[in-house]
Amino acid sequence: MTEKRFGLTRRQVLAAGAGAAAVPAFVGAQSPRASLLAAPPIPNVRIGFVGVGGMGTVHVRNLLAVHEASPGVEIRAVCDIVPEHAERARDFVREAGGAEPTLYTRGERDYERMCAEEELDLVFTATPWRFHVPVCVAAMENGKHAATEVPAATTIDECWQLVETAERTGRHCVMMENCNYGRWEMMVFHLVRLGVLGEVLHAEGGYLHDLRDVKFANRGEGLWRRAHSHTRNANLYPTHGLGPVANCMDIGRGDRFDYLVSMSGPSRGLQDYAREHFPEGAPQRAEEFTLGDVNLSLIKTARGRTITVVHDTNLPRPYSRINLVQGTRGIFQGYPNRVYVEGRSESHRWDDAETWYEEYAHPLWRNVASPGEELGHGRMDYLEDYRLIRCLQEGLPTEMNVYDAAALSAVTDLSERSVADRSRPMDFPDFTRGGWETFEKLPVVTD
Amino acid sequence: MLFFRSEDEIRAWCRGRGVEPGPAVSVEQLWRLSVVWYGTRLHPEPPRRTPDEARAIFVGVGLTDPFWDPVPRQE
Ligand SMILES: NC(=O)c1ccc[n+]([C@@H]2O[C@H](COP(=O)([O-])OP(=O)(O)OC[C@H]3O[C@@H](n4cnc5c(N)ncnc54)[C@H](O)[C@@H]3O)[C@@H](O)[C@H]2O)c1
Repeated sequence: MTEKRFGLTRRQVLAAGAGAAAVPAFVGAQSPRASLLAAPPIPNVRIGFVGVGGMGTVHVRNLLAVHEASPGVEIRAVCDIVPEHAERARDFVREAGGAEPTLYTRGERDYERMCAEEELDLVFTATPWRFHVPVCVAAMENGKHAATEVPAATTIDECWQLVETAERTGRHCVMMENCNYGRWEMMVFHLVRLGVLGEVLHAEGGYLHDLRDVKFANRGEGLWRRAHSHTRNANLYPTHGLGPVANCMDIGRGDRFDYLVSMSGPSRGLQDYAREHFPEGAPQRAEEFTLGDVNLSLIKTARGRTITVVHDTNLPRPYSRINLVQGTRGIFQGYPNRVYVEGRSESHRWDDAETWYEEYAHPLWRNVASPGEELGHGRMDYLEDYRLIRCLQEGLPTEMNVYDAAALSAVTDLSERSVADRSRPMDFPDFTRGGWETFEKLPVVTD
Repeated sequence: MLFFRSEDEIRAWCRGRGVEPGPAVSVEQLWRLSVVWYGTRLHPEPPRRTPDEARAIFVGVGLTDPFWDPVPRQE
């Protein structure tokens, strides 16, 4: 009789118990396999959309364009608390020649009714942040795959809720990080895969976007986004900068975020903006903000590599996501895009990245044109929606899985705790429970 | 080692991944096992248990799965 099963021995279990204060029920088993998140193919993807404001409308129109290029997508239902928004989306579906979607406009939780009543393969949400997790959970609990705009979650508990629900129901929960499909982000990923930058050791990313007018607008994100700046001092929107560089570092597929330290500076920008743009006595001038204008977070990975993530949305400045990836042979840096590779670039001088593009463009950018008008943030948004649909149609693992969504989104909560505690290191949970060591690396897809 | 709320959850988790369930231990069993198994750890010379003694302890807390059988391997 062998004592070894499922990779653990009786002796190992007893030895582990000796060091543990309390060990609840356990089962010895291997970590989840890479195939876990590849669901059976869905030739015709039936979608229910929740939240069709600015970004949701972009996705709806892109999904209709994906269908136009290659039939196999259907928008069956649309849910929004503002009936006119849902009707606008319905009109786009009609114009594209689709069957009329059912509208769900009976308030904040009407997505629950949609998830329960509709026959759908995918529920896609682009609502304000606090609804992302409830919508995804309702979708998965009703047997539907879920896709959510960024960030997937805003607390560690919410991250676990997504992971546990996806594991229990066997459904995808994809975070729609469009910047992973950006022209330059994808070229850098391609450079990394080809080994041009050598071994990647360090990366920098961020969201540096003057959002003062957006946060104070009387519409769209102005209705909800500013509220987070009232109450949270954290890296509130980490995934645009972090998602692409995490892919270059194989986070969740060979490495993982280990811990983070974070600092925020003073909060001035929103107060100053309110004073300069609203009349004496306006309620906006009395608002107080907790969010430091610049947050700097530093992540150490399990393999000892380093990443910085910046959040900077309250001060006058040009846009940047930094997008820096540095390896043993060279470096890429965005804004403006430049490359330096030893032996190829002139010593100590940047090359304009455009001079590298012809040779190193990512095959997806070379091969897949977006049909018609380019919406939202241009082709990257289209490619993101296109690849999600391709993965679902062909039963492939999605390029962003629930573990990625949780790890990237966890930065907000961990940075908040670190900032509040003199930048003390905060450990990332291993949402993959060891799976990161064996999950397959992301491929360079070609079409 | 993974933690679950119930045996149903263990089965569902394993089914979702095509993994055979391993031996599950309840919190109560683990507690009872710990009290006996580690109870001698602080003795200056902790006694080394014979396979029969170990088996008696495991069986005593209901751990009868072959995983827990301390009979030396016959290679
Ligand atoms: N990836 C990107 O580049 C990008 C860009 C912009 C926004 N976003 C993300 O997209 C999401 C939406 O942002 P937006 O700019 O479109 O905001 P928005 O305010 O323009 O749109 C939100 C929509 O959701 C609706 N809504 C609110 N609560 C709802 C509920 N409970 N049920 C159904 N509908 C509800 C609103 O009526 C509105 O139509 C956010 O998570 C944001 O972070 C991502």
